[in-house]
Amino acid sequence: MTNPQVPSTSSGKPKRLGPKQRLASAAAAILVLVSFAFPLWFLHLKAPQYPETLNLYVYAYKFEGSGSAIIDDIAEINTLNHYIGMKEIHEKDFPELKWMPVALGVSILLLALAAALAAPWALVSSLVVLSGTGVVGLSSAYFRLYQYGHNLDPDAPMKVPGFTPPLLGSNKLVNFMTYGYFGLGGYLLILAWILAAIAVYFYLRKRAV
Amino acid sequence: MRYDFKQTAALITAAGMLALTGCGPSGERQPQAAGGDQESRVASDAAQRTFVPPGQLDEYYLFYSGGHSGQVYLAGVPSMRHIATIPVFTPYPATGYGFDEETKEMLGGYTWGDVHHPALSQTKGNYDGRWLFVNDNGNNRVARINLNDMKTHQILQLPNVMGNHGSSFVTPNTEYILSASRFSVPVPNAYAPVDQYAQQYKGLVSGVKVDPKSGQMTTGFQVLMPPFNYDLGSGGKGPSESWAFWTCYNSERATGRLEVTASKNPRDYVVALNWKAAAAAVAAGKADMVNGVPVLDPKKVPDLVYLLPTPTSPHGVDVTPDGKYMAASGKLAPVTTIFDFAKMEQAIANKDFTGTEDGVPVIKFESVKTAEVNTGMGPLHTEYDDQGFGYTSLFLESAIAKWKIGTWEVVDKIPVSYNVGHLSVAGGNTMNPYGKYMVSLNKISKGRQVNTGPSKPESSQLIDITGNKMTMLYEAFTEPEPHAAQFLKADAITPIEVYPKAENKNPNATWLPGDAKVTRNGKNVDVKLYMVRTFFAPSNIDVRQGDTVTVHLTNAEQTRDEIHGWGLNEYNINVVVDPGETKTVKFVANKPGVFAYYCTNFCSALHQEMQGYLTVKP
Repeated sequence: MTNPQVPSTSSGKPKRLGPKQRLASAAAAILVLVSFAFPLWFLHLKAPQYPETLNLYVYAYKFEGSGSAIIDDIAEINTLNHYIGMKEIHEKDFPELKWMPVALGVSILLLALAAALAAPWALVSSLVVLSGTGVVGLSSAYFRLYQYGHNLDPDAPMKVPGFTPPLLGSNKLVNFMTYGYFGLGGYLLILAWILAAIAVYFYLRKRAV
Repeated sequence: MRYDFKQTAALITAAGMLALTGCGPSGERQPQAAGGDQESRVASDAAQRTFVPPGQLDEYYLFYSGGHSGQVYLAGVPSMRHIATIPVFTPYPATGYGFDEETKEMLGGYTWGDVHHPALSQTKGNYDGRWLFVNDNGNNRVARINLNDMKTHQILQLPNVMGNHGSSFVTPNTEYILSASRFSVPVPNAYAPVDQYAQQYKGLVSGVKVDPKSGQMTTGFQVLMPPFNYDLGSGGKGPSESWAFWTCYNSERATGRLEVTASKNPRDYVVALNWKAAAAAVAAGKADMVNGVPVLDPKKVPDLVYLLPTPTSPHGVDVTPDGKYMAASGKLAPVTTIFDFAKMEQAIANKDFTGTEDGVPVIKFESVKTAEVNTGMGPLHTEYDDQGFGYTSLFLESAIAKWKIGTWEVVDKIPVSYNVGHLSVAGGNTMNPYGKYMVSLNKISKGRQVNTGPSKPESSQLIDITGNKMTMLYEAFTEPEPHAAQFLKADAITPIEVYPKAENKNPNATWLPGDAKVTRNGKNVDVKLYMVRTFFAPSNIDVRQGDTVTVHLTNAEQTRDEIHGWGLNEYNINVVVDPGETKTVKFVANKPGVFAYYCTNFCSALHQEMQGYLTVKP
C-alpha cells in the first residue's frame, strides 16, 4: 500500500513529516517569531507611592519599562534598589539577551525547514533547541533573581536579608509587593513548544507503527 | 428712553458710599454674614455638588490672578480648592522661582507685579490650551505661562506704557495680546511737569505680538491716544474679530483728585481699534519708532481708531460670544450700555461723527447704541454663558445680574459677599462658553471667615448658572487678591510631569554621579552638580573667598514628583529642580567659613541625609 501524500519507505514507515506536522511546524515558527514583539516575562512592583505600579518587561533581547511619560521604570527601580544595595539592572550585564535571540532564531529556522522540506530531523532539532532555551532561560532567570537579591552591598542605607524576587508569584519587601508573571511572548513560546512536541509525538508514533 | 447720566451718577455715588460703609440707615451694624437673601440662594445639595472626594479630580482648572501678589493661582472647580501657585512676577522660594539665573533674569530685578487679567490663548475664538498670558499693572509687563509645564517662560517689558491695566486680553487667534496705558505719560517717557498734562502726556493702546508657534511675545505696535486713562479691554470675535476694544475714563484730561476731576463729563468712551489695520499701517512703514516700538499717531494715520461715547467712568467692555455686541458698564451709572458692532461699522462708513479727540473720531452715540440694560448699581464686568445670557457684576449693589442678549431684560439677580469685581463664567469670554459655573471674585469679605486680624482675605464664590435662577454653591477664601479668572476644562490639557532626559539639551546637565565635577578657571569656579535620591555629587565644594561660583544643578530623576532643592545656608539661595531639569545659580563666595547645602524639597525617606558642604577659605 502506498500513500501518495506521505512518501514511505518500503517497510511503510514515513521518512518525512505529514501535512499536519508540517503545518504545526510552520505555526510554531510563526509563534516564536511573534514572541519577539512581546515580553517573555515581567515584574510588577506595587507600593502606595506608585499608584501606576512600576513595571520591568523582559523581552528576548531587551528590557523595557512601561514607556510612560511620568516615570522611567528601570531608572526608578535602580534608584529604589540602591537603598537596599542591589546592583543596578543594565542590559549589558545580561548575556541572556544576546544568546536568547540567537537560540530562538535557530529554532525558527529549524521549524521553517521542517515545514518546507518535511524534514523530521529539523523538527526534532527544533524541539531540542526550544526545550534547551526554555530550561536554560528559566534557570538563568531564577539564578539572576537570586543573585541580584542576595549580592547586596553591606554598606547600603537599608539592611535587608537576602531574598529572591519571584519568578512566578509574589513577595513583599519593605513597602513593595513584587509580582512575577509570564508575558505574552512567554506564552507564545510555550505554545510553540507544545505544537512542536505534539508534531514530534505524532511523527514518532507513525514511525513506530 | 435716554438715561440722564449726570444726575443719576451723582445719586449712585452717594448710594454707593452708603453701601460701602456696611451700615443701614439707622446706623446699626448689620448682623455678621448677612448678605441679603443669599442664604436662600444656596443650593440645598450644594455640599454634594462641590465635594470632590479624596483622590478624585476637579472638573475645571480655575486660573485666577493674584493682583499685587504678582502670582497666578490655580484652583479646582467645583471644589474651589487652591491646588497650585504659579509664580510670575514675584520670587517664590517654594519652587525656587527667582533664585536661579534664568528666572532672576526674567524678573529683571523687580520683586513684585500687579496681575489683573489672565487670558488663555485662543484659536478661532476658543481656548486652545497652549498658553496663559497675564499683565502687570505695576511694572508695565506681560508674561506668558506655558500650559505644557505650567511655568512662566517669558516676561516682556513694554516700553512707553504706564500702568498696563487694559491687558492681557487676546485676539481670536492669539495674534496679539491687548495692552494699554492706564496712566498717560509723555511718550517717549521724559520729564514733564504735571501741569503740562493735557499737552505733553499721551495715552496709549497697543497690541503685543505673539509668535503663533512658540508663543514668544514681542512689542508689536502702539497707537497714541488722547491723555485719558485706558481701562479694560476685550478682543472682538466673529464679525468683529479685526477689532479690539477698551474703555477709558478721564476724558476731562484732568489731574489731581481724579475721583472728582475725572467724573465731570457725563460721558467717557469706549475705544475701538482696528488692530488689523494698525498692523498693516506698521507694515506699510507709517509708524515712528519710539524706544524700539512702532508707534502710530491717528493724526497722521487715520481710519484706525474711533471713540464710542459711553456713560461716565466706564470699566468693563465685553464682546458677546457671537461678536455682534459690545457691553460697556459705567461704574457710576446703573446701566450696561450695549453697542451694536454692525451699526458701528455703518457709522464709520457714513462718517457719522460728532467731533474728534486728538485726531480720533468720536462716533455719534445714538448711531451705535442698541440698548441699555438696567443691570443695577455699579456695573463693572460682563461675561456670557452658552444659553444666550450675559452676567454683569454689580460692585455697589454687591450682586450679579443675569440678562438676556436680544431682549436686554434682567431675568435674575444673586447677592454676593461683598463688592464683586470681576466675575468669570466658564469659557465666558470665548465664542463657545462652557456655561455651568460662574465664580464671583469679591473684593471685600468683612468677617465672613474666622477672624484673621486686621488683614483680611478675599473671597470667591462659586455659583451654579444652569437653572433659571442662579444658585450659590461655595465660598472659598482664595489667595489675595483674586482679581480675574479663566476656566479651562481639566481634560483640555495634559501637561508634562517629568522633563524627559532626552530633551534636556543643557550642556551642563549631569546624569551620572561620576560626571559631577568642580572646575576652577582663575577666580571662577564651575560646579556640575548631580541630584538624585538621596545625595548630591559632589558632596562638598571647596572654594576661596571672593570666587565667583556657578553651580549647574541637574535633577537626574525621571519620576513624577521627585523634586530636589538646593538650599545654601546663609547665602540666601534655594534652587528647586524638577525631575529631568537643569538650573544654574551664580554667587560670589564672599563669606568665609563652612556652609551646609541640603535638599530643601522633601524627596524621600533619607531626605534629611541629602546634604553637603561649601567650604570657603579666607
